[in-house]
Amino acid sequence: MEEDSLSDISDPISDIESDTLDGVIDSDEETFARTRGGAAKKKPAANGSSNSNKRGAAAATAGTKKAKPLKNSTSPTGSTTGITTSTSGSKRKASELKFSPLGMSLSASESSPSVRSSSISSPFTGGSESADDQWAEKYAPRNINEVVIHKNKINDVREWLRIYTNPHDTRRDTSGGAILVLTGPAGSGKTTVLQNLAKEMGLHIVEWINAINANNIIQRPVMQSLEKESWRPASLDEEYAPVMRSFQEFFSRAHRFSPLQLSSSKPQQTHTQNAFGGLNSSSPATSTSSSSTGWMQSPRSGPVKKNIILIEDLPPVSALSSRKIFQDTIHNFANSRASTSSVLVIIVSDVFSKQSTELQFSSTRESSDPALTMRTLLPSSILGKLDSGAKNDNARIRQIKFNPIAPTFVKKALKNLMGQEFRGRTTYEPNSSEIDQLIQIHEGDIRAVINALQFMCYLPSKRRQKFREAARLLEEDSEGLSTLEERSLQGQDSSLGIFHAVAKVLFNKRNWSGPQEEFDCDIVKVPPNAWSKRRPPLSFNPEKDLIEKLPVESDLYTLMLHQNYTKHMNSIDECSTAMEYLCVADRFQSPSSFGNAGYTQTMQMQPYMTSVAVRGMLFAPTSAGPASANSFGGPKKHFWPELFAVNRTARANDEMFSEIALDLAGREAHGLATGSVTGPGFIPKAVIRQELVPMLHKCLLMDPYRPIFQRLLRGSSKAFVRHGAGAYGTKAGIVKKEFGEGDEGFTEELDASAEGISSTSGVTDEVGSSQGLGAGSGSGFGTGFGKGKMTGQQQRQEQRTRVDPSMVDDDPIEDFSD
Amino acid sequence: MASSNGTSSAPSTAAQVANLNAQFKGNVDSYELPWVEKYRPEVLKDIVGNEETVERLQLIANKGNMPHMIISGSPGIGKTTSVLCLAHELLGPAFKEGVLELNASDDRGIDVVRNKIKTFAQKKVTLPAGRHKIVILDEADSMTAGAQQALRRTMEIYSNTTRFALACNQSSKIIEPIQSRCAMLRYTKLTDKQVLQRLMEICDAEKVKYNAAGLEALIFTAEGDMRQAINNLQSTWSGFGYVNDENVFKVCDQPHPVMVNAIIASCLQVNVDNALQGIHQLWRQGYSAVDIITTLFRVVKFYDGMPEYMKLDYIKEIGLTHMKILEGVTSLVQLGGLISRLCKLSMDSSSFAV
Repeated sequence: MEEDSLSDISDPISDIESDTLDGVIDSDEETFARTRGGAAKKKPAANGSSNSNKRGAAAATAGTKKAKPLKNSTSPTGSTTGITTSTSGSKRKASELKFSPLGMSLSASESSPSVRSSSISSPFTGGSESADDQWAEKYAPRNINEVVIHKNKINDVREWLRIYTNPHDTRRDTSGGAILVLTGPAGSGKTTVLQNLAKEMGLHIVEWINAINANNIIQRPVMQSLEKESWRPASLDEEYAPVMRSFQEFFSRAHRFSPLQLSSSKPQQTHTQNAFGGLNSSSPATSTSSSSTGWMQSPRSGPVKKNIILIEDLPPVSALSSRKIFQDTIHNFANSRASTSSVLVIIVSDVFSKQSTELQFSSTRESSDPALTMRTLLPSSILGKLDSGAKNDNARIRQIKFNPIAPTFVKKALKNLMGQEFRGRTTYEPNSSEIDQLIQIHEGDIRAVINALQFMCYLPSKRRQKFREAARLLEEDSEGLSTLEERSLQGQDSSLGIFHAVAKVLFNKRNWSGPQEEFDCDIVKVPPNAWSKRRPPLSFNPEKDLIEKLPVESDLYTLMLHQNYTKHMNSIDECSTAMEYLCVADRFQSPSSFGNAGYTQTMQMQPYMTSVAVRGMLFAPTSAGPASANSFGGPKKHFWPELFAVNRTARANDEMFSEIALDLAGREAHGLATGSVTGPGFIPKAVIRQELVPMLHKCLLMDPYRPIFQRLLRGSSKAFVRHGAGAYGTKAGIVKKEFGEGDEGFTEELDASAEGISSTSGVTDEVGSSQGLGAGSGSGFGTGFGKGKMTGQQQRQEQRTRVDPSMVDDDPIEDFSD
Repeated sequence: MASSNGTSSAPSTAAQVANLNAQFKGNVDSYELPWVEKYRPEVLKDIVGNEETVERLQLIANKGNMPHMIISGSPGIGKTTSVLCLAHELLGPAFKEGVLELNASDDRGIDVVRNKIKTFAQKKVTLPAGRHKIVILDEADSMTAGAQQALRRTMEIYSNTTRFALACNQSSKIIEPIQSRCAMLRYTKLTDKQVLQRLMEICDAEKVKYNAAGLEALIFTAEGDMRQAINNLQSTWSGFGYVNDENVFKVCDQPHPVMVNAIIASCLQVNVDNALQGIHQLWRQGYSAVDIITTLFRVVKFYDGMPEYMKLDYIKEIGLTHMKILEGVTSLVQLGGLISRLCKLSMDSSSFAV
């Protein structure tokens, strides 16, 4: 079997090279390699000093040891693999160095930093320089119980892994390779969960890590070589082809050979296999990682376990041709029976920038430089199975979505961290308000919170306090702060100064009872109707004292004002004035008004945007803002913009719309789902969003059409159409809210579909009656559809929806303020 | 160049740099470094502005263990300089081999990220404990999302030997997974005072003749961008031999704010003819619509004696016109239209009723 797979990769050169292979033992390279290997060997004996060296050297020693017997016996597997390795290096010169397995393990030791275990196992080795670690790594969870994400998520992943790594489990679907796709925002614990579960279950993670192109290693060993030109790959093909080929190779080896190693009595062989198998740094890395995690602790104990093949570092798939190779490889894995020996886990982070203030619906910009998402990355066959298996926890190909980590969980983890970090050193310890703000700003990204916390704590807390004080004095030198403001400004580092900056504008400190601004009519002519626009003099210059010192991007700041201004206005008129200026400000930064050069021009317009927004906010109130904290809209605590959460939801919804289009238009329309293809024959997204989905929603509930759509739409799409506001409940509600101004059509549609489920309080009678049946059955379907026992349940549900007002939607804002 | 002496003997003040340079005066007479480079701070404590963040960086420089960082902020406020200083102080003599600096002008596609950065990350450099190799990615917001994605795992895998420092203008152009792995530092604009102080130091060191109005003009045109201020200073000095406002605006090729000021004053007085005449004059002098409107905005922002509400509406109108100009309509008509709209703001709206 191995022979087969390899023969197609190895080309005619292999004949020549198999000859050379015999001779290579005595060649110069060999001796060179041996000496280097020997040097590497000594290091661990002497308890090698540097952390990274140790690992690499250990790998090298292992490699050397194993290479010896292998060489003597010249097992067919070993030699053929060696040849394949060398052939994939396109340059003759390159292959020379890499002939012997030994040579490969040498290059492995040289590239020791690539060792995967460096990041996995740093907590376990108790790193010699633990003080030098980044906290995010130093305090990474050491076992699954320390991971602070929701237990159900962990159980989902654990169950899946348990089923598909146990060959005797009856629930598994043995028709092909098992694939788990983990998605979610950055810092939501995807990798951590996988690593810790693998540790708990004694599984090995074999991770693909992109190597530097083999040519580069061999030909350009030194960075500061004078010949800059040597960095240039001869051609793109030469650059990528070997990498993609080695990816394929890695893949086939990882899933085919690993059981072989496991069942053999010489587990050490893995190292060799991987050491020259991966052709590059990736495999040595994985071999050591396995030795540091599961391997050494439980060699050959218990039933044979499978490997987890992890793809997190994507191979160069931006070019269509190489993406095709990638997709084919995955596709083959999913469909080959032979691959049942290991499971594939793919981790894809959401790449959308959290603070992007635009709604990227059509994402025209994205298409010129597509960021890789799950949808663009995976082959359509996999995607199809993913969706159809969405409901089934035991599906062979499954996606598990991770959510941002809840603030309370983050806080718990941080408390734990600080308990360990600040033992007795209270000088640096952050106070709780500092932590709360960090958590709010980073929106469930625990790694970012920890990074920010660590950076903040470089300064002693007294010093931080001092800076805060100084900043306050500087800005408020002319007047004292009222106690209310003082409280709201407490505990704000100047690096967290955004809330401070927002408060400064919104509290709008003026001497309201004092005299109005004077107009000097010799300088300025003021029309009589403008006298009402007079305000008491401003206490600061908005541009000089505020805008130029903003601690955040100005578009984010404007968004913050928008999020929070209502609480500070006295009447609806003032709100409308404020809103008007915010609209103008928004227009200034709209990138769509400038063609391709949008970016620089948006930058040019930014000062206008902030000026208008800030001055508009200052101008809008005609008298002092609501004095008491509770008179209007609750206590004046300021919130982080909801727009980001809304954008996320909108993106998720948009993805669903695309999927529905995909269902309806068939497989060949896959391009539509990825947003890369538009043309005749495809349904524009706007149409899907505003017309098709609402129509489908109605059709799904009516009898003659129901079976058709049930067949046509996949599980998740069906759920989306049906629920509208069910599974996507509050989210849809928010999208509706945000689109209220600009996109009436969308609002109505969502209204309709939302109403069908949870009978939103705001629905008019008219709509309610026309959708009466829909409302009832809709919520019925939410649980019972597709299980064939609707009627009775449906009726009951309908009754309940009608009678029980407790189903009324929550205020969407509430969901995001916590 | 001073930097070749290594950090140990790095001159710490502008004056010392000047002295150092004076020693070689004989050799380098015909050749002069841009002052921006010549007076670029070599140690963190010379960096102007953003005291708190710089103090943190100083602590990192002393203790080692630099985290991954993103420094964001507008141009010319010391982002790159801080990173370079930090790298110098951290690595000392190993700076040359321990630092990989890439900026937007370098080829920075995915393959570079994959190969060059990775090769560098795997390279062995002997460094003291707590010191790491540093990859500096300048103008990281111009990297494609794909290239940034390729960077993501690299940052994590090699983080015990290599740390990344990214500098960018807009942090929102950095993809989320990378933001998550970095400490985010936001630099604010420099105050006029800070710029002024630095300019005067340089003037003293270079024996530049100047008057107060000249420096004021430099600060006005630079808008908190230290690099631009110093560049303009040098251009004016080498071009005219004397730094006054007249020369500065000539060098910067910007309409003189005094003229623009007069236009605004006319608008406030509803003297349409005068205001239009001023615009025509500027137009005839060859200033483009963008030049004129940019100066107009700057002048209005700091115009005294204008009612608050009116300033708001002025800014709004100028902004809307600026947008039209950026869309490509760079005609005199647009400017004329702007002037008439500005004048209208000071007129009784009831007289326009039909």
